[in-house]
Amino acid sequence: MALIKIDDQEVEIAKGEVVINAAKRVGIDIPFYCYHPGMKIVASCRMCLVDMVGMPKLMPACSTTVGELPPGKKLEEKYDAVIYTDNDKVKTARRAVLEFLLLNHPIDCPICDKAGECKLQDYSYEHGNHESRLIDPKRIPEKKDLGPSIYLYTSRCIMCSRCVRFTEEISGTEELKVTHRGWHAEISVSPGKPLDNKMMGNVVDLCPVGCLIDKHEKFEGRVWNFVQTESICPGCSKGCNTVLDTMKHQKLNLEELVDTVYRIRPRENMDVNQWWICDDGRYHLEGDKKKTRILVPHLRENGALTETTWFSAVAAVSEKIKSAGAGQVVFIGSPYASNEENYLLGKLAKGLNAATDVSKPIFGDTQTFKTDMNKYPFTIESEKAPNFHGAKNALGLTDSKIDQSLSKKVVVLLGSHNVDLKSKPETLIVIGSFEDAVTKQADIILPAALFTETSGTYTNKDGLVQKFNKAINPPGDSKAIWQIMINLAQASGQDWYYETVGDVAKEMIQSVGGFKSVDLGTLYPHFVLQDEQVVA
Amino acid sequence: MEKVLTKMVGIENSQNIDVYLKHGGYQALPKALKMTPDELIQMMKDSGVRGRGGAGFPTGMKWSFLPKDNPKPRYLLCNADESEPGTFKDRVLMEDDPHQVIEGLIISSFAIQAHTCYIYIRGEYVTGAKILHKAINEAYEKGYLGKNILGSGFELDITVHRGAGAYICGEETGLIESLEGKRGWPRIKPPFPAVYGVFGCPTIVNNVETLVTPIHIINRGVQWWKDNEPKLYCMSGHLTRPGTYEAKIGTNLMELINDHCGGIPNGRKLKAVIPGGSSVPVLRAEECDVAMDFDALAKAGSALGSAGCMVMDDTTCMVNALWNLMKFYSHESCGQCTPCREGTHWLEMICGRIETGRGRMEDLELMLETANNIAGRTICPLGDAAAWPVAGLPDKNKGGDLNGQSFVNKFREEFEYHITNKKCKVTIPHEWN
Repeated sequence: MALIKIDDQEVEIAKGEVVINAAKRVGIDIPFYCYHPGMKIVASCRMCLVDMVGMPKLMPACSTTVGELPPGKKLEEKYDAVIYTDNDKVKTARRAVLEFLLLNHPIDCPICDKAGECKLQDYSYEHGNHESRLIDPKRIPEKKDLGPSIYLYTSRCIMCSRCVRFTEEISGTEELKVTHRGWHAEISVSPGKPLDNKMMGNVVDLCPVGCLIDKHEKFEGRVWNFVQTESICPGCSKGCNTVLDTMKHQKLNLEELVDTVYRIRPRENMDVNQWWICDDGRYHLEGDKKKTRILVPHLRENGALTETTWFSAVAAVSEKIKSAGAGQVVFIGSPYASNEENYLLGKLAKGLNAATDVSKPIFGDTQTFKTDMNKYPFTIESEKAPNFHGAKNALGLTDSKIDQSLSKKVVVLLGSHNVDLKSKPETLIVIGSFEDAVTKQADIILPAALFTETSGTYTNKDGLVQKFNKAINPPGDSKAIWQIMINLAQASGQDWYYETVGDVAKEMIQSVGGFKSVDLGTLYPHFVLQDEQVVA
Repeated sequence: MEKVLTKMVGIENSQNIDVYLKHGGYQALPKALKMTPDELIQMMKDSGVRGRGGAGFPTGMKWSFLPKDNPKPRYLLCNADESEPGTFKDRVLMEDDPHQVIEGLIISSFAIQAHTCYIYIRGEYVTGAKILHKAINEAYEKGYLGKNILGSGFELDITVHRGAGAYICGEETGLIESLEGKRGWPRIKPPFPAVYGVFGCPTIVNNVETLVTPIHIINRGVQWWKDNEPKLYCMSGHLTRPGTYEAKIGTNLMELINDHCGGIPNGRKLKAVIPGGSSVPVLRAEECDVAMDFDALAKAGSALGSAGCMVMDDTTCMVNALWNLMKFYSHESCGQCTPCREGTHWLEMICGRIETGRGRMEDLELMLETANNIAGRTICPLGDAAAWPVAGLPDKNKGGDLNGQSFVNKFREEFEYHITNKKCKVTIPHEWN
């Protein structure tokens, strides 16, 4: 442990820790482009140069470490290093780097998707010159199509090489390379080997400027209109932490404002996904766009499913359950629904003396990205559901016996994922979001919100309970599942009610065995049980 | 003066091992193998040999940086990339006297206890690579290479690796990356190659001329070396007899130009000299009365570098000369660090604008400032090498900024003439065009 002075603050720095991290701890943000804590340090952008007393040249804060000095040689009698991050020498250097970076940069911010979250923009305002001294022609190379989902706007590149290092060190696929030399240097792919792997979306997040652009997001929205919501990826049992960028926007030819999730980005969590997510999770919602959403409750009348109101649909459900008799009803929870929703399903079933079960998750391929340089190999889990463990726990079950359960007279299905109906039960009630083979056979459909439209918790494969937040309002008449459960409970004469999903979570933690050890406040720093709120 | 380093030059079949042996070759090797490695390193320290590739770092000290407790194998890399413009001394050693190089490599490898040595030779030196290949095979046959060299139990293999023609691969960490099969992007230091070099193992990288010095120190003694240290000077440009000359280190520059090289041809006058390869600040004619060694040239505001003297007479347009240099650095910048990648190209563009009559007076200050913004802010010294010809060496009194004593300020009136009159101040003789 060495003691250093950065500007006028003291901070302890561990052996091998780089100065840029120590500075961040005391609130000093040293600007940088090429540095990333998860990848090899190259110190090539020269943006983070700082002035270290005793060093003839400016030192890159991202690669400089400090060792302890012998007692007699301490600077100012107690420091192992004295560093200035804001003196004239440093300011001149930063200004120069930004001037150099902008020499061949097209400065096409008005049409650049990165504008607003671009570090070149931010630092230029903060540290740069406000006028260009260049009168010579710029080099404007053509944009490149790197693969199925990424464009490379070559002219915007600042050669930080983060994307190249990502494909070398994290995904291990090595598609990206630097070609040419000097001011001609460009990021490229080899002919016939496009950037195509399950992790490739991360290079867009890594790019500090607008060089790498996701084809899904290109020209789709301006980042300053986005609202960020912390969420959890429901793609597999890993439970990657994500951010949902959402926006209210006007659909073409429609006057109403529509909420849309524009993109899913990874959120740093060193215990789960580090800084990354896979493309299955990133483009998770793309698949939903192709499906038909159920927007209103449906009731089967005279053999045909017809639209109805919540009131009559809920009344019909409680009627069917009552007439079938307790022994003939089963409530089937879902590994795709949150702990709270499964818990309330269980509570409802208990109140009606009905059986409970849980449907099985879909299983797919496991894929691990392993390289020699990466401490945390990224794994896409084979269990393609976010909450199988949590659902079983919340319902007090050990495993799914869905094939037996489907033979009951009245089946209440929470979600229709991966449910294989061999023969239709006498009454099939589906709480679901999309039309599929199961909902077509249903007698009653209650339209449910997706994970982006409600809050709750998922328990991942390691038993980590993590919270996702509501980002947008459910479309049409659809409702959050926990609210549907309350409606069903009240219709069937049970006396319970919750103001928010947070109240459900509090009760669940108290009453369900597997959650008792969970301290949501400390287990996960972002876990704040907040009231459901409508996004403004 | 007796030729030491270039003794074999001009002798028939000097590349042949028998001819080398006849002229006293491989005599230092048995003596070296009887010494201990520490004694050899101490000998290098005592003799004060400084690296001859350009930076002038004391060789003995570099060798002593190797960690004692690292179990990994050690490597010796012979830097024969010789890509500094105006430098062609290693070529003479490799093409005319390859066995001297090999003997030097064996002794140096023994001193640092390396059992593998690579000669990284620049791609354009096709002849040199062929000659070295042949010489290495001869040395294997005679038992100077391979297992148990001369019965000492010491084992060494030498491999010639040809570069692909990049200036940056002459920088030691760029060379290491290139040798590993990667893009020649220099590494950040620390860790230095002595600790973490090629394939992650302790590595010493030295210039060809540096690595032949132990032969002569062993043969003639440390004191003789200190009194008579020979040095190769590459004399090029407007000279009657340009070429590689061996002279005592510290020989006066004017003596080299006038006595060794026969002076400036056609009765023209000396205008300027770049004394140490294209990367060092230029000297005006009146500054050329200077001893060609590390300290005297540093005092004169330049550097010995690789001792590649480029002599320019009064028909040289200094704007054009600087433009030429800037084109080189812009072309050879590896593209890793921002200041060098973008700055060298900007300097080239500004220089070209002035030369072609589109310059502005403020461009001169812009060039000096840009050079200042490149120097000292990059991973490897290529940034410095591009900035120093423009704006001189770093000055401690100016807080490490460049002192401005090179092309732009030393020949400012020529730059200004170009800007105002949109043409050269000098008339370039017909035969140069």
